[in-house]
Amino acid sequence: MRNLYIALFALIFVAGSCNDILNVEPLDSVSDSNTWNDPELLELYVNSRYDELPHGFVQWAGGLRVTSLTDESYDIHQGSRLVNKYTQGEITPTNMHLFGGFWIQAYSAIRNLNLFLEKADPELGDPDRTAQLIAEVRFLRAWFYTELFSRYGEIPLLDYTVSVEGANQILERSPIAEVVSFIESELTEAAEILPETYSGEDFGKATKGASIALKARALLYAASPLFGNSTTDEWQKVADACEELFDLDVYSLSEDYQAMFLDVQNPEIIFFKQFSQVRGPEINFEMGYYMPSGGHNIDEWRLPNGNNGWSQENPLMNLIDVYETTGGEIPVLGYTGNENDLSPVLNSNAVQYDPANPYDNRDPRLSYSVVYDGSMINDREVEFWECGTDSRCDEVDSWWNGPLIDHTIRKGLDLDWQTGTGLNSNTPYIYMRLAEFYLTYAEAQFHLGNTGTAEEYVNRVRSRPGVNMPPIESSQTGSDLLTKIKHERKVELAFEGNRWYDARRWLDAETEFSEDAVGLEVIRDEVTGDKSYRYFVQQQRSFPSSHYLFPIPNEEINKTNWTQNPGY
Amino acid sequence: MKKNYIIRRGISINWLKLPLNIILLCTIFSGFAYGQSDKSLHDVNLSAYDSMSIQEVFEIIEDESDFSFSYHSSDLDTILGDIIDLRGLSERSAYQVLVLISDLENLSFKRNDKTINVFQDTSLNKPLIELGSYTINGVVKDEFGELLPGATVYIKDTNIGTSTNSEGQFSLKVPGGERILVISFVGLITKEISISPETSELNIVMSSDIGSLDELVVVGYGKQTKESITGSISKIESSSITETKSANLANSLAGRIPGVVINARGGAPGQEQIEVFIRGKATTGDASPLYVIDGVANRGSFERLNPEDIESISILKDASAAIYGAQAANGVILITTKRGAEGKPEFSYSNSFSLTQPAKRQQLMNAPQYLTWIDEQNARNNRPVIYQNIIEDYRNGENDPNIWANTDWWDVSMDVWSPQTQHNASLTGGSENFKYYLSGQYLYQDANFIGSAFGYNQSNVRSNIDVTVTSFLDVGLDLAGRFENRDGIEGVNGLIEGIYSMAPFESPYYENGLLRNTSTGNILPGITGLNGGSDANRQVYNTKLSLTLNLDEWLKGVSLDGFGAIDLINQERKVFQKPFDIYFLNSDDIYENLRDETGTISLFQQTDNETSESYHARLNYSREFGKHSIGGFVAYEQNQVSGEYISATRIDLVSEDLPFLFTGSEQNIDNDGRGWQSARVNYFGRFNYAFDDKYFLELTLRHDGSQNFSPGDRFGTFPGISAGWRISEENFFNFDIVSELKLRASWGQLGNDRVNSFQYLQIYNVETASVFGENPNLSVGLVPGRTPNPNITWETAEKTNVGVDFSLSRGLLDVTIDWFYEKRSDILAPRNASVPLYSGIELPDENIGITNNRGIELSILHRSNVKNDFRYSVGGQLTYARNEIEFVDESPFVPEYQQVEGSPIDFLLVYKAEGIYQNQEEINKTPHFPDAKPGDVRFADVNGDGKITADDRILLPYGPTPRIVYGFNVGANWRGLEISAFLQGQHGAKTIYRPWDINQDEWYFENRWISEDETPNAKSPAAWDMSSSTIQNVSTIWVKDNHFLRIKNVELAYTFPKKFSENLRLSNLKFNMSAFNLGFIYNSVGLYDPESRSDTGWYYPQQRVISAGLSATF
Repeated sequence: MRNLYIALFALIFVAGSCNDILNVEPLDSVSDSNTWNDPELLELYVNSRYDELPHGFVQWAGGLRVTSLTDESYDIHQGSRLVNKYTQGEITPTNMHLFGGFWIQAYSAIRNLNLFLEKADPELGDPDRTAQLIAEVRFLRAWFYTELFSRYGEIPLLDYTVSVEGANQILERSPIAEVVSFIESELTEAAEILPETYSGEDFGKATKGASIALKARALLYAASPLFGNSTTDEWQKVADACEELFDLDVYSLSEDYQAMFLDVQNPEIIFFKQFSQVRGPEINFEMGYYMPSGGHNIDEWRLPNGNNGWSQENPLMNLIDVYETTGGEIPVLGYTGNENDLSPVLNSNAVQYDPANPYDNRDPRLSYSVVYDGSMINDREVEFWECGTDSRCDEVDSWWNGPLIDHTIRKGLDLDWQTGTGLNSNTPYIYMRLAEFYLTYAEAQFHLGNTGTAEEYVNRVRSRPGVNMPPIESSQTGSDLLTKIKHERKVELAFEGNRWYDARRWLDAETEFSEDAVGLEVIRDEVTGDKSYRYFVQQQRSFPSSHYLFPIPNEEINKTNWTQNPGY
Repeated sequence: MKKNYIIRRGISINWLKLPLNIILLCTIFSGFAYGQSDKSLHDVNLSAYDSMSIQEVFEIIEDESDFSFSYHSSDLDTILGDIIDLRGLSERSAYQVLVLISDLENLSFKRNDKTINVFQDTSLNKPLIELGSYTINGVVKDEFGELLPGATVYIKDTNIGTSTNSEGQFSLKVPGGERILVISFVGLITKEISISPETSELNIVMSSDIGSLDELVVVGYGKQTKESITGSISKIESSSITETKSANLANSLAGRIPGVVINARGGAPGQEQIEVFIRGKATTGDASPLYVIDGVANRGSFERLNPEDIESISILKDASAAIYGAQAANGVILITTKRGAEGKPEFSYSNSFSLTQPAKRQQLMNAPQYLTWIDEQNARNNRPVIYQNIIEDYRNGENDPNIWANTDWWDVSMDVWSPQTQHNASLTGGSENFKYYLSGQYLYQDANFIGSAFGYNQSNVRSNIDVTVTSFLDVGLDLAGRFENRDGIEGVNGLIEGIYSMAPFESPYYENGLLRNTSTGNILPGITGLNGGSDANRQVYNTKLSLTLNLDEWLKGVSLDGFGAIDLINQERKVFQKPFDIYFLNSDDIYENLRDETGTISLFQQTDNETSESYHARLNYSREFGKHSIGGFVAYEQNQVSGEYISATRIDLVSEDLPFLFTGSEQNIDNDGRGWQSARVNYFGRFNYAFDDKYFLELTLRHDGSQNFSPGDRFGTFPGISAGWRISEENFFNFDIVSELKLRASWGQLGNDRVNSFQYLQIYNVETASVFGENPNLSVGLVPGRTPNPNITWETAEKTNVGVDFSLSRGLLDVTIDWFYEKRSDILAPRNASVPLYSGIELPDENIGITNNRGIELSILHRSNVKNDFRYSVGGQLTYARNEIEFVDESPFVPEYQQVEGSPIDFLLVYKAEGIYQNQEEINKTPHFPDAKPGDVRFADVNGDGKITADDRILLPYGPTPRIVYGFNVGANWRGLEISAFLQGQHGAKTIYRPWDINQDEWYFENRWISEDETPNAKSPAAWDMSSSTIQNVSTIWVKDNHFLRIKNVELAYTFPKKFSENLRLSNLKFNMSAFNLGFIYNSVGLYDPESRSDTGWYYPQQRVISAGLSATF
């Protein structure tokens, strides 16, 4: 009997003392209280917010390689990327998943930014440092709102985190003016706190200049015909913001147009994103080749085949033919004839233009931005003629990545990129550089009637060392000057992602993006080696007015019962 | 008068398999001369002697009575002359004198009629004199009433026994007192009957081992006889499990157990993706059941156990699972492994050699078909048509095969048959105090890919030992280890996808044998392992030390059970990549080696380890008071799991022969690691009451704490009640043909705590973030995890079950029918549907969902032996389960016909296809997507708004989990020849099959739309571009019913006659052949395996396994 009591006692003892084991903590994450009470962790939190900023080197969701949605280029991977849906005017609220992910990504990032602003204690740690972190976060939030309104138009504006309980309450979309005024005041306040420059490990974070530049960009979008009323007041704000940027005296035009895209420490660059070559831990061994799991592979995608690239995005003649001659004339005014054998309509004033050597005597920015037949890459002459090093050869080659139009993008490429290293590209993505804001300023001054100032700033861009294009003729009539400014923007900022925003805000996309996409074939005489060029319609395009804005994702309409954007 | 019988002694006999010669020996002592007992030993008076030698005692007794002594003279030589002093005896009868001698000399005397056998036997615990006896007579029959000649009848714990004569009769002289009679017959369940001198003529009915009512069924924390079970519990025996030679245990169960829905979603060796749902899916959350292996809950990967080690598997489907509380809502699967039994060592060995292949093989388009398809795509998308000449060349056989090949990438990648081998060995036996079961298994499965770079190796070892320490203490020690090696397996689904992404006009090799760099990346380096591959090793150790303290001596009916179980899981993965030679025939006709583009040598390595500790203590009580029997227990259990992993990557290793990190570059090093832990605490108890084996009542209660919930909400209470009534035992029930009729009913509340941990806490994950710095460097960042829900709790299932068990005697019919209804509430789901995306919130799970699940399950079995040497059985089972979502968070403005409430848990939301557009006029007349062309799918404008939008999708109330599953089995046995067949079927499931890569199944080509005139009745759309609405928007044209009836398993086995096997010194020798997944009787999907749920076909296919093997017992 005594043994029984001992056993029972043991049982009760074991049973009675063990609820404590339930008090376990996660071992793979940081707790709420740690995060907001440690200045070091606040820094880490902000690091990840920069990571959420989309960039133009990835194709899915938030980042948008928009160049092939425009008259700049043609993407050889039409179907799989749904690029053709966009260029054919066939985007609907349900087939837009290529573009639609941004809605979710942006608002999720905004929530994380708002969470910081609610939780971060300004008194924590070094107050100056904490204040700077808060300003960086406000800059980033303004970035997302700028992107959102420029893509979707009216959008809900949240400067707080939605609680779990109130999560299904429906907000209305805020008018553009309200969104822009929010962005403006946020960036103004952030700029007061952010430092002008960074050194050492902080290099690459948002600066005062970045904050002002973003404000100028947002105000420019807001003033433009798509969203604004083009009032003097609106344009004055744009001009003021640009002047504020110029007055910092931090930025100046680079003297090497080609190299600046790989050199983020040059004085023209205002805001950028750097990348690491390190791949994530996953190796895709199944298909026999490396695929990147983070970062980007823009060099492989864009480089010509002779450099083991894919020539994925091929610049269109619609763009190449408007690069001026060294004399300052646009050589080609349009195309006529059979779609498989077009004839360019030549500008008789463009006397330096030789249709047999179309790339000679051109704006130097053409050779800095485009790889064409005969371009030199690392002492190698590029061969785009059939079965040349950089082209497709026969039908079987139609299955390979390779140019469909005999060009590929050169701007910002790392020509020394090597295949098979297992590393990603570390080419930086340039969000904003000074030349954009010279042209923004010119546009604003034009609308304010100060044509002289407008011309001056256009000419500053044209006359930079290494470009040295002649100044635009002074005392042009109004609309001609605006055309010149738009042209300069198209050429100077080609492939940098601006064209898609610009053509839409000018309401030019309906006509310009509806033009046939014109391609070029280099034909080489096997005997003489002489080359000739065939122009053809690569794609018929259509840009309905509905496409000025993206549709709101269908899922969101089902939840909010908002009115969809017009035309969808 | 001495008789020098040779007496065998000192051997331990396994009575269950008592060899015939020993039986005969026993009968010598017991079977003869049932004479009158004239003069008892008490009557022989030795009072004339004060002392005498032992030999003199024997002689005097022999002289003065009819008794004679029998002994082996050499045993007693040394002691026969010993002089015994009789003066201390109060009564000097022969009996008393023999008792004294027994004590003094450690002899035992056993009386057989007039013979007294003398043993000097150390195997008996104490000297024993059994001198009073009685005779028991009986007849043995089987359940069909057939007399059983040759049945073994013996008295338990003795070597006294006999066998029945040709009339099935026996007669046995029993040493005095109450005894237990054991009757055994090959193939029938051994029976034990209590006998006493009052026992009259016995009429013994033996039952066969299938579906016997007397069998014990493993239930939660114990065993119960089948007749006393009140819940809905199914059981499957080891013999049915090992019939199937699939390497995956779960595959062997599919369709065999009523109420269990098992679908093999793939067939990759060691990674079969098997879904197991009990009574279908009853929740929108995690619907997987709880696995309990040898009493230890949450032991994972039961399907990797050695099938030969399984004693039985029980499935708790209703409130009977409530004893497992917060984890039991999806049902419980109890797996019990074999243990040793008293008897001589028995060594068994079995093997199987199998060939495996895809049960359904795809046929993709060939080169000319494919080029035609591409050109049709081009034409439809206003792109130039370029392959006409090439197609013509193919037609005329003029294609240059070095450039324009015609490759069936399935054929060049996959073997027709791949080998699989299994070896099993076990050793079992034991004495009264020490029993053991030792086993080992080795399994190898080659993957279907050509070459043998990929495969699965598995070794299992197990040692289950039971020791009786004292009469009240038993100790058990179970040690099991498993070593799993998956060579390349983790990437196999990707390789299958690769096969679809190959262009058939390209060959894997140029004609000179060089590997060809094909346009979409040649898959063969991956298939053959030329580019490296993955190697994953997993070691699982299950250990358990258990104690049973039987306190019956002190407190009647009380016992104490406890165990401690520690499980370890170690995993190591390596992914190794290396460059290889691959060539490209360039425009100068030179084979250019592109080795440099195939990457550098690199290595990713990850090590995981996890420890799980479980402790259990249980106080049991079980007693009978007349017709009342009462039982129950209270128990405590806890479980703690902790683990961590570490991983590292390096690139640019110096050599392929040294796949270790140290040879990698110091640049671009990457590493990672983290940990996890969890805990559970449980208090529970059960009370059973039975009256007269007629009425049964069972109550269970469990109080569980789970770390998944916040400190204030951790504990929940889960009750269960069930009752049974055996109508067939009632006096008023007078149908002799009905051997069993029982009604059962149960109700219970069960929980499902299968949710991600720490949802009540806000957490932040550490991740790499942006690159900053003048010298750019990756920074470290913090990303907020999901928004916390402090009120999160478990999901609750309220289950009701009513069942009937009905049996006709002689195996004519056994039927079990169960009806069930279940309501789930507090289902954890995020409220995403109604929360706008712009909130940016990743909502936590909240206890909001409500579903129900109802249905019936039925099993029928009929057995018969037509003649004595021919038996057969026919059976079937069917489960119907229909679930419904009662409440779920729904988008407020979703059209009514898309609302999920009222629909089943699995559903499809798809556009409605109304055929294929024949011409532009039809397109113009109807609402359509902007890119619609003749040959595209015509979508119905369901809401009639003149546009095709997402609102035109309809909800199909079916998904991949079937509503009806069924199986049939037939088996027959004739003179050692056994044949069995098993069919598995399902109904009421639908899946989207959407061809989605570069190449597609030939069917889509042959059935495609070409033009209004040529193919007005085409079944499939015209050659589609991947961006076209036809393929981008899933419509009913891509939805197929998953109905099928497949020949799941056929087995033919032959047991060699005893004479033959005994000549080989074997007690049993059996040869078998079997086929698993042999073919389909009906398959509504046609193109794919109907159990796949991959909408693309890119998965490693289910396997057909053809096997042959031997099993031998020594």
